[in-house]
Amino acid sequence: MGEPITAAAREGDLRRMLNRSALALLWFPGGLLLAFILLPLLRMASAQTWATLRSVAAMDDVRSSIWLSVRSAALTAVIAALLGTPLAYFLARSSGWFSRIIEAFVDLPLAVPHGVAGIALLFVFGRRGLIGAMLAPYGLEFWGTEAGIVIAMLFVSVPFMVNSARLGFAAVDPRLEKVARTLGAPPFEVFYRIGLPLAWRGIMTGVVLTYARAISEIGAVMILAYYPMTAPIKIYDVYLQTGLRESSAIAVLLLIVTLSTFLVMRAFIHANWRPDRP
Amino acid sequence: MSSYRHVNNSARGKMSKRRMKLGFNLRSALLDIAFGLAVVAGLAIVAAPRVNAASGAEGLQTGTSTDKTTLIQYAAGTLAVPFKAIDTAFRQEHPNVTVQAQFGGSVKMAKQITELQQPADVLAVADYNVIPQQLYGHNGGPAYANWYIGFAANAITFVYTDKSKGAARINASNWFQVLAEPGVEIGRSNPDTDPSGYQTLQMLQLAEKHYHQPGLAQKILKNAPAKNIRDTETELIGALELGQIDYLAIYRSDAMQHHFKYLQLPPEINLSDASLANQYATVSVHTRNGDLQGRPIIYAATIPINAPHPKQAEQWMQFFLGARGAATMRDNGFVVFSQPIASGAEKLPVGLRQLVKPWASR
Repeated sequence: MGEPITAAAREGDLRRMLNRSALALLWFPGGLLLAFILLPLLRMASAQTWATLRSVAAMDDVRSSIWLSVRSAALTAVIAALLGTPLAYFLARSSGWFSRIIEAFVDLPLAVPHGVAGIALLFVFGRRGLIGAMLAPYGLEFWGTEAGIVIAMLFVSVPFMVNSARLGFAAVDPRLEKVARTLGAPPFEVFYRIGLPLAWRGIMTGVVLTYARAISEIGAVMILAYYPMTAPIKIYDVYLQTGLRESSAIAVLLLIVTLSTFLVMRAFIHANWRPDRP
Repeated sequence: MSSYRHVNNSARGKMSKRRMKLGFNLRSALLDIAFGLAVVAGLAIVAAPRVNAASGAEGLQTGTSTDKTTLIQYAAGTLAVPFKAIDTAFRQEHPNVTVQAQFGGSVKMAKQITELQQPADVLAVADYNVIPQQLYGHNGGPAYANWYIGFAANAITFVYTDKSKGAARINASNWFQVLAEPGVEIGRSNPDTDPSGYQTLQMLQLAEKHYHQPGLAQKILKNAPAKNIRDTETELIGALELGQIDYLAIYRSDAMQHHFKYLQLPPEINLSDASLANQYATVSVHTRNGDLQGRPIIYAATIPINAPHPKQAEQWMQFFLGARGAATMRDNGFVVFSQPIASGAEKLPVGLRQLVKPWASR
C-alpha cells in the first residue's frame, strides 16, 4: 500500500475496510485470548465429578480455608482502597518528577518475587522486626495470623489499586475541579464531590483487581502464615497429601466462589450508585 | 492546490479503482486466513489433550537434537547442592548430556511423575519408602518404577543462630531442656506432607526414651505450634535468620551446607544409623497418612520405567554411585554407604548391579 493514492480514495478504502472487516478481524485475536483464558479453566472444571466437588465442599477445613481467603482478600481490598485512593488522587493531580518516582515505587511490589516479598515483610513485621516488635505487646502479631495474611496480600496487590484509581482520576477533567474551586468549594469537597464520583469506576476496578490478586496469592502469604491455611495453600497441601483429583476440585470450588464475588462487584461498578448520591 | 488535487484525481482515477478491488481481495484473503487459523487453532485445542497425554515423553526428546540429550532429574530439596556439583562434573565427562534438575519435597517430586505425568530419567528422594509408596503402582494403578538404590543416610538435628534464645547455654546434653523453655520458638516441617516433618516427631520420641524423660516430646512441641510449620523446613531458614524462630528441625546436611550451628545428637535418636533400624522402629507417630514407624533416613534413587533416556540415566547413576559422587555427598554432610544397597535388585539395569548389594544383607 506504499503507492501514493488520493486522499478521498484512501478514505473510502479505509472506511470500507473498517466497517466491513475490522470488527471481524478484531474478534479473532479477542476470541483467541478468551479461549486462552477459558479453556484451561473450563477443562479443569469439566474434569471434576459432582461427587468429588460435593465431598470437598463438605470438608470443614476446605470451607474454612476458602472463607479465610475471601475474608482476608476482601479486607485487603478495603484497606487498599482506603490507603490507595488518596495516593492515587495526588499522583493523578501532580505531574512533577517526584510523583513519577513515587509511581515507580508503587509498582515495585509487582517486580519483587513473592517469596522475597514475604521475607522483606518478615524483616519489618516479624517478632524481631521494626513494627512487629512494637505491636507484639498489644497482641497484634503477623506470624501465622490473619493479620500476617492480610499484609502479605496487601503488599503484592496494592499496585493494582493505586494504578487503577490513578487512571480513574486522570480521566476526570481538572477544569471541572477548578470551576468548583472558583465557586468556593474547599479542596476536600472538590475531591469528594467531583473527583471521587467521576473516578468511581477506576477506583472500583482497582478494588476488584486488588481482591483478585490477593485471593490468588500464595508465595508471600506462605512465608508469613502457612497455618491458618488460605485456599491456595490448602489446594497445595491437599495436592501433596492426596493428589490432583481432590486438589483440583478445591481449586474449582475457589474459582466458583471468586467468580461469583467478581460478578457481584462488577454489578456494583456498573450500577449507578456513587458515594455522592447514596 | 485544488487544481493539483483535481489533476491527481483524474490521473489516478483508474488506478484507485483497481486498488479498491485489490483492497477487497486483500480483505477477503485476510478473512480467509483468519478463518483458517481459527479452524486450525480450534482443531489443535481439541486435539491437544490427547496428543499431549500420548506423547509427553517424546515431546521433550524431539526438542533436542539427536546427539544431545537432556537428562531430566527430580530430586529432594536437600540434595540440591551435591547434585548440582555432581551434575556439573558428570557433564564434563559426558559433554553431549545436559542435566536438567528440579528440586523439591520428595513426595511432590514423585507426584511430578505419577500425577502430572512428567517424563523423568532420575528420581532421588529423602526417604526410600516414597519410591515404593508412590511409584510402584498400587490398587491396579500403573507402575512407574520397580527398584530403588539406597545411597546415603542423613540425620535430623536442630539448627540455631547466635541470636536464638538459649544459644549460649545449649549443648548436646541439655538441649531438650532448653528447647522446652517458655518463649522459645521452634520451626519444623509438616509431618503430613514432608518426611523431615514426621522424622522430627520420631526423633523426639526416641529422645524421650533415650534420656528417660517422659513428656519431653510434648513439652518441646508446645514451642513448635502450627504457625511455625511449613510444608518443608527449608522455607523457614529465612525466619530463623531473622529471629522469628530460635531453632529449626532440619537435616544435618542442610545444617552443614548453610553453615549453621547445629546440635550433635546421638545416633540412637537422630535416625542416621541404618544398623539401628530395629531400635528406631520402636516409636511411631500419627499423621494423616497413618501411623508411621521410625526408620533410618535413607536416601534412595531410581530410574523410572518410562525414562526417556535410560542409557544416559544409567551412566549418570554409575557416576553418582562411584567415588566422585560419594565424595561430593560426604562433603555435603551425608553419611555415604560403603556399598549402596538395592531393593528389587533383580530388576536393576545390568550396568548398576555390581555397584550395589541387596538391601536385606545390610
